[in-house]
Formats: sequence, C-alpha cells, structure tokens
Amino acid sequence: MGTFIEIKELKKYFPIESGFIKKSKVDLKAVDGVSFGIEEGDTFGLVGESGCGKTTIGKVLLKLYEPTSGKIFFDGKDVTHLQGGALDEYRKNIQAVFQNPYASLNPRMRIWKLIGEPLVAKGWSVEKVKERVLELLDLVMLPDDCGPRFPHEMSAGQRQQIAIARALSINPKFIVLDEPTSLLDVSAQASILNMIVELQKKLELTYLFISHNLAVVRFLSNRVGVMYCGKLVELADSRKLYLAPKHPYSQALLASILTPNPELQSQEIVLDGDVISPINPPEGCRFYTRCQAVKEGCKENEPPLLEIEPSHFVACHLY
Amino acid sequence: MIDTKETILEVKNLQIHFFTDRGIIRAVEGVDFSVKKEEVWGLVGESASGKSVIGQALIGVVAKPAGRIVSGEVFFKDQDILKMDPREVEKIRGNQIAFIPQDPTTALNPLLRIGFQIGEAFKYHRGLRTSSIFEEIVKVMKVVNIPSPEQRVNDYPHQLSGGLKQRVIIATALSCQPDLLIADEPTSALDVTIQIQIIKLIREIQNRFHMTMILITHNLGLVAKMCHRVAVLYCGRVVEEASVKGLFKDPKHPYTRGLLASLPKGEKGDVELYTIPGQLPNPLYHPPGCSFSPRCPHALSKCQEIPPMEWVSGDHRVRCWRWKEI
Repeated sequence: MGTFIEIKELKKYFPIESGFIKKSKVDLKAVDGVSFGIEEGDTFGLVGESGCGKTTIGKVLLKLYEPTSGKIFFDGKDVTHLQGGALDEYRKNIQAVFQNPYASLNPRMRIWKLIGEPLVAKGWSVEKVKERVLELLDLVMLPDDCGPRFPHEMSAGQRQQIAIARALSINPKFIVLDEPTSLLDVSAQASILNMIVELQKKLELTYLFISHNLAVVRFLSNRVGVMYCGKLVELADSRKLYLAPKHPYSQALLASILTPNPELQSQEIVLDGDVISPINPPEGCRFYTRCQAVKEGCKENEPPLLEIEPSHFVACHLY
Repeated sequence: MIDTKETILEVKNLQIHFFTDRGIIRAVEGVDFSVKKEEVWGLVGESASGKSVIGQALIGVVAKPAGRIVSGEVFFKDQDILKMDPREVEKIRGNQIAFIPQDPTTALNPLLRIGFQIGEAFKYHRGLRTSSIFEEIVKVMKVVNIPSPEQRVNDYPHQLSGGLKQRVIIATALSCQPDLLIADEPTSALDVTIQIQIIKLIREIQNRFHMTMILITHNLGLVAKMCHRVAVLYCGRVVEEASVKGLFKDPKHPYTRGLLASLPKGEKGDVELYTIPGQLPNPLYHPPGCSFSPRCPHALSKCQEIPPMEWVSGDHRVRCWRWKEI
C-alpha cells in the first residue's frame, strides 16, 4: 500500500484588510508549509488547539479552499488545481463529516432526501436512490423507517449517523472527519467511534481525522500529526507519539489529557500564556513564547521538521 | 478528613419542572445531596440530565415563567433559600454563593470594561462607589493571574482571549470572597492547554480561600482530577453518589458503569468501546420507575418502580434495585 493522499509544503493564507484610511493588507497564515502523507486504509489523526489550521487542511483537501501554494497528490496524481469535470471526478472519491450535525443537515429536508442528495446530483434514478438509501441506513445502523423523518426528530448521535451515511453514499475512498464527536455525549460518542472503525474495515476507507480530543485520536489513528499555529511540530506513529512525545508542545498536550481515573493522574505540564496569533507569527520557532525548554536560537531560527527516528519527525531545536 | 467538616449546603427533594406548551418537562425529579465545607463536590451527567438546572436553582435563577421549583428545600448555612424573600436571596447571590458559567464569551457584557464587570458585585454588596474599589479589582485580578492588571482593567472583553475571559469571570465570582462557588462546565469551552491552566487556578484558589465548590460537568476526567465527592445524574435523579475514588474504582449503578466503559481508551484496534444501548428518553415522557431501565442490561420487572437510594458503604449510595447482584 503506497501513499494514498499526500500534501507537500501546503500553504493557505487568508488576506485580512485592516485600517480605514490607510488600508494595509496582512496575511493570516492558517497553514504555513505542511507536508504529510496518508497510507491507503489508514487513519491519520491531526491534533491541535483552535486556530492551529487543522480544519483548514481538511477543507483544502476537500477542495473547498484553493491552496495558496503547495501540492496535493491523490493516488499519485496531482490534484492541486483541478477544475470542472476533473474536479467532479476527484470529489467522488472524497467526502466529509463535519463537527456540528445541527448545522450540517438541512432542517427542511427529510432524512432519505438528505442521504440521497449526492446520488441525485450524480444523476441516479429515483428507484436506485431509494434502494441505496435503505442500504446506507442499514450500514449506519439506523432503522429503515426513519427515512421520511426530519433531522429535528433525531438525537445528536443519530444526526451524525445520517451525516456519515450521506458521506458514504457515493462510495468515496477517503473521508475527512472534522471533529465528528466533539458535540456528542460520551455514550453517543462511543457508538459513533465504533461505527467509524467498523466502516473503515468493511469499506476499506482512508480517514483524515481532525480533533482536539487526544484520547479519541489515539483510539482511532495509525499516525498522528501535531499542529501548532499553522505548522506541523511532530509527526509519528500513534503508538510512538503517545508513549514518548518528543516536542515540548506534544508533551504538554498529552499531559493535559484528563484521565478518568483519580489514581492515575499524570504529571501536569502547565503552559504559560495563550496560543499566538497566526497573523504575525514570530520569526523563529512559533512555540518559543510558551516553551519550557526554550534555548538560544529558538527565537531566531525556525526549526525544520526532521526525522529523528525512523518515521518519527519533530520540528524542534532540541533534537 | 472531610467528614469532620460541617455541612454548608443541603438540598432535600428538589423538584424542578418546566411547563411548556407541549407538556411538563420534569428536569429535576427529587434530588437530595449535601455538600460539606471546603469540599469539591462534582455533579456529572450527560446533556439534558438536569445538572445545569440544579446549579441555577441554587442561585435562584431558574428560567421563568416556564421553569418552576415544584418542591424541595435548599439549606445554605441552615437557611432555606427557596423560602427566603427574593431580595434576601439577592444579598447572598454573588456574595456568599458565586457562579462561574460555561461560556466566557457570552457571560461578559461586550459593551462594558472588564474592570467594571469584575467590581460590579463587590460594589453592590458592599455599597461602595466605583472610584473607591479600583485597588480591590486589581487585587482580585492578580489572584487570577491576569497579567498587568492595572492596564487590563480598562480593556473590553473582545480584547481578551478565551482563557483570559474565563479568568475575568472567575475574578468576578471571587470578588466578594464567597463561601460556595458553583462552576458550571468552567473549562469545556476552552482549549486543552488553557483548560489545564484554569483547572490549576481554580484548585489553587479553592485551597487558598478554603472555598466549597460544586463542579457541574459532563467530563469524567475533570471530575477525577478535581473533586472529592461526586454524584451521577440521570434524567433528573441522582443514581449514584460516592467519593471520587470509590466511584471510579467500584461503580455500582449500571449507568455509571456504562459511562466509564464508553470512554475512549487505548490504541487503534485495541478494543471496541462499550455503548449504552438505546437513546436518552424524551424529556416529556420519562419512563416509569427507574428512568434507566429501558437501556439497562440488568433490568427486571421490578425496575418499573422507582428504586430507593441505598447505602453501599459509609460514603457510597446508589439508586438501583439490583446493585447487590450485578
């Protein structure tokens, strides 16, 4: 199995205009040079705090945003600047499940219409769509009779099941899961997580799983990238990262997991200050303002992402 | 250590119903608990379990006119605050009982400077003028570690980050040095590294001022980290109450067990997570008897009646007919 999806030096800047009389333009560097690859059939976890650019990467992959620079490869083909029919072809392979199932489902559409809409758009006949919708409802373990219902009659967990069914409707190979369980209660979260794992096995899907919940990422991912302020600071196999994180930021993030066991409380690492703004990031390492292992040179030189062990990459001057 | 302390808050048979057009929502159906001095008491439950409504009732702000406290007693320092004159309750609220809401962004007024908002309760309860409390405001801002408080006093909420806003909220709650602090999901709107900062701050403050705290949350990890004792709420009833160690080590109620088992743990491919079967019941029609019985793997016909609260040990009680057998 080769690299299925790959991004190279991906950048996405959002221009921000400020000033009224003297207009000035600055860039919000949401994603600033990120490269990674996802193997076929794997789950790649992308973790980081709000504003670190993890959702932007997902949206660029979905081609909802045009990247500022960099390249995206899908199955060996460059898909960075696809347009028209070729873009439609690409989108057949890639779907998304978003965070908020209250915002992602049109409240005026019945369930069967919501799930079948991508198929109708692809020109399927009514009978075939109906057949497929029933198949999909079965796949996500929703009762067959919920087709004529509206989203407001469903619980948050069921809504997310509908969103998953819709994403699966056109048999994609790759799904971007953007915080699919962060608005759910733990009991609903557990069933959605199990379902995500099951579907991957059954349909041989590849996932990009975006989340700030490190326990959930660990449960799902083979490989994990830790992002801070538009940059990847660490990239490693999930097992390695959770056992021995190398970057000081990854260490602090992992130490901040609230373990639901009063007798197994980890050593706390409390970072000072806030996440810096991606509008004017510092010259050197973006994490130096909060880093507890900061040393000479961190402020001036940006650390490159280096392979310190086989397939374990860290961007830090300590290594 | 805590057992010897006196009880500061005692809630007896609290029932809160919401009278809506579609019917009566029994949000809280007979909740009893007591909180001892200097204790951090956790109240956990999933959405719609009634946990926030209990918090609101304790400070007398249940949404009116739909929400009504149908019955119950809330003794705070031996006074029943539900029977008190609203003006008397006002003297306690923000003064002896303070509240930290969940979302710092909506809790602050965007049009007022943060210094004013921090000092508002203090001014009201001590009968002071704005000009004379500047030092007090700066002092309390220092307690919550807001950098350069002398300048920050004049900032507006939009100039602050989420973590700083939550610090402002905590400062507001602390200004009158309350005896009881009710925190409703104080960290769930924050990023993980900021969350740890706020947890550390709240714990320091609680130790320093010997405050009693009620922590309302859905996050069992947060409970494990902060609380001494914890009650688990399901559909408006406490189903289990125990010391934190006791609850995590030896949960008795099937719902508590299900919750703990459904938390993600381990690596990819390790195990399948346990899922509690079924859905939360419609709040308009709670099932008769034990509300958890339709989802419970151990339910019997007996569970059609409401089980009594039974003591498992000195500090562990559970509301289940079958806790001895399962």
